[in-house]
Amino acid sequence: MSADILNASLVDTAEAIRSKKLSSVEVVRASIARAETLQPVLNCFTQLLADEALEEAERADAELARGELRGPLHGVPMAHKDMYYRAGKRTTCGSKIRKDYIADSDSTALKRLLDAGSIYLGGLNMAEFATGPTGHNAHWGDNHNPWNPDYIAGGSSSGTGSSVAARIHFGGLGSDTGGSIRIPSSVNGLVGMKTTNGLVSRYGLMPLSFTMDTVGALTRTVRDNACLTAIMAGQDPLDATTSSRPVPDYESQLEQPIKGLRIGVPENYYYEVTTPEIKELQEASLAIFRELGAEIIEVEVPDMHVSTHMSNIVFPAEAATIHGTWLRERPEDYQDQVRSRYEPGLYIPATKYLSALGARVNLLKEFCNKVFTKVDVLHTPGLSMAVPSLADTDVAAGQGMPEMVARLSWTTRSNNYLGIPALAVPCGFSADGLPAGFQLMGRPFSEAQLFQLGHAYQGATDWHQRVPDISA
Amino acid sequence: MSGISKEHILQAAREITGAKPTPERAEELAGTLNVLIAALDKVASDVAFETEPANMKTALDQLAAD
Repeated sequence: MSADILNASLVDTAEAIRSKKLSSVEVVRASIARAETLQPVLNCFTQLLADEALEEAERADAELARGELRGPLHGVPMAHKDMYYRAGKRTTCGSKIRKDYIADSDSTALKRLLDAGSIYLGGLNMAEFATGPTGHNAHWGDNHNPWNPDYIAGGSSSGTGSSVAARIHFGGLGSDTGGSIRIPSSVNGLVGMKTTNGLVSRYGLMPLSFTMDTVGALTRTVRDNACLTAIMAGQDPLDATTSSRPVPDYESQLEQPIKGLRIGVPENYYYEVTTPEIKELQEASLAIFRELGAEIIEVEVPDMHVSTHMSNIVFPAEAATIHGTWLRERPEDYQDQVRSRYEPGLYIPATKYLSALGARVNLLKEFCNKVFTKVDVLHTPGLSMAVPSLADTDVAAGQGMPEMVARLSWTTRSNNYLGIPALAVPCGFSADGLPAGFQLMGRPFSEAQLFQLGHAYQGATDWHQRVPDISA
Repeated sequence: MSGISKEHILQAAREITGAKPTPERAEELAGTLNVLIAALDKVASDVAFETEPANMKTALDQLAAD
C-alpha cells in the first residue's frame, strides 16, 4: 500500500488528499517509513523531521475536514536540499561549518511551497555548500544512487535526486549554479528544471554565486515540475534580481500540440565528449519527438567553451568572496575538493571578474541569435556519459578533479552564465542499468514551452514510470 | 602582458588573501587562470563602453520567447 501511495505523481497525490481518497497522515507516514528504511542505503537525509511532519499532516487533515484548503499542495510531504532557510530551524548546507546553523529568515521559494500546503519532511543531503557534481560528502556521508548504490547520485542536489527517484517523496527543491539540478536529475532518471535567472527568488537560499544561482525542482513527471515551478515563480521584493513578468499557468499549457515546433540538435560542442551509448539514447529521444510532429534541425552553436570559461571566472570569484572569512580562518573544515574549487577566486583581478560579467549580454545575444532564430529549443545530452561510480569519481582535489567536474557538467555549465532555462528529462538506461537523460534549452522565460515538449515526450514514453529495485 | 605568475599568486596570498598555497599549487592556479583570462580578453574587447552587469536583466527580458 505504501509503495502504491508513493509511486503516484505529486499532482495526483495532492488531488487524492484534496478529495479525501487519502489522508495526509497516510501519505506522510508512508514517506517517513520509506525514508527510514532507505536512509542506511542511500543516505538522502541530513535531517528527517518525522514528528514535526506528522503533526503538520494531522493539522492538514483536520483543516480539510473543516473544508479549509491551504493550496494546491495541501498535505503533500516534500523534502528539500538542505540549504533553504526556515527561520529558527537548522540548515546545514551539507557542511561542517554550518552543521548547527539556525536561520533567521524564511526562503521565499520554500515558503511559497509551504504556503501552498506542502509538509516539510526534512533537509536533504547535498554536496558541501552545493559544490560538486557527484554527491560525495565527507561531512554527512556520500549520497547513493537508488538504481545502484555503488553509483553517484549526482550533485550538488544529490539527496533530492536520490530521494525522489527512490519514491520516498514526490518532488523537492534543488539549486543549480552549473548543473546541480540537471545532473542529479539525469543520473537518477528525473525531471529537473534550471529556471531562467530571475524567475524564482533566491532569497533565503544559501548563496554560492550571486550571478548564477537558480532555484528549481526535481520531480518524476514534467507535470509535477510545472506545478511546483508555477507556485515558486514570480517577483519577490526580497530579491531585487527577480523578474516582474507575469508567471504563466504552466500546467494548463502542457497539452498544447508540439507539431511543427523546431528542435535543434547541436552540430558542435555538445557531442564533443559524448559516448556512443549516450548518443544513441539521444537519437532515440529525437526520433520520438519526430514521431510527435516536431521538426529536428541541426544547428551550429557558438563556441560554448567561451561561456564555460566565463562561468569559471565568475563562479570562483563569487564563491571565494562569500567564503572568504572561513577560507582564511578554518580552511581545514572544507573538503579539499570544495576548497580547491573556490581557491582560484582569491586571485582573479576585480577587473577580469567584472569584464566576465560585462561579456554576458553579448554572449547571451550571440547564443540566442545563432540558435533560437533557427529553432525553438536546443536538445542536448543531459550528461555526456553513462553514470559513473562513486569510486571512479572519488578524486578529492587530486589531478583528475578539474577534468571530472568539467566532464560531468559539460552540457550544463554554460546555461547558468547565459541565464537561460533548461529542462532535464529521462530518456532511457545505459547498459549497466543507470538512467540517462536529455536536456532542452530555450530562450529566456520559455519554461512553458520546455514543459510542453517534455510533457509530450513523457506521454509517449514510460521511462519516468520505471521504479528502481532497491531494498534495505 | 605576461599574465598571472606563480610569484603573483604567492605574493597575493601572503599580502592580501591570507591563503597558503604551496609553490606547486600556485603554479597550477596561475596556469588555470591564464587560460580563463586569455578567453576573456578575446570577448571583452567586443563589450560596449557603456556596459554594466545589471544590463543582463534587461537582456533576458528583451530576448524572451514572447
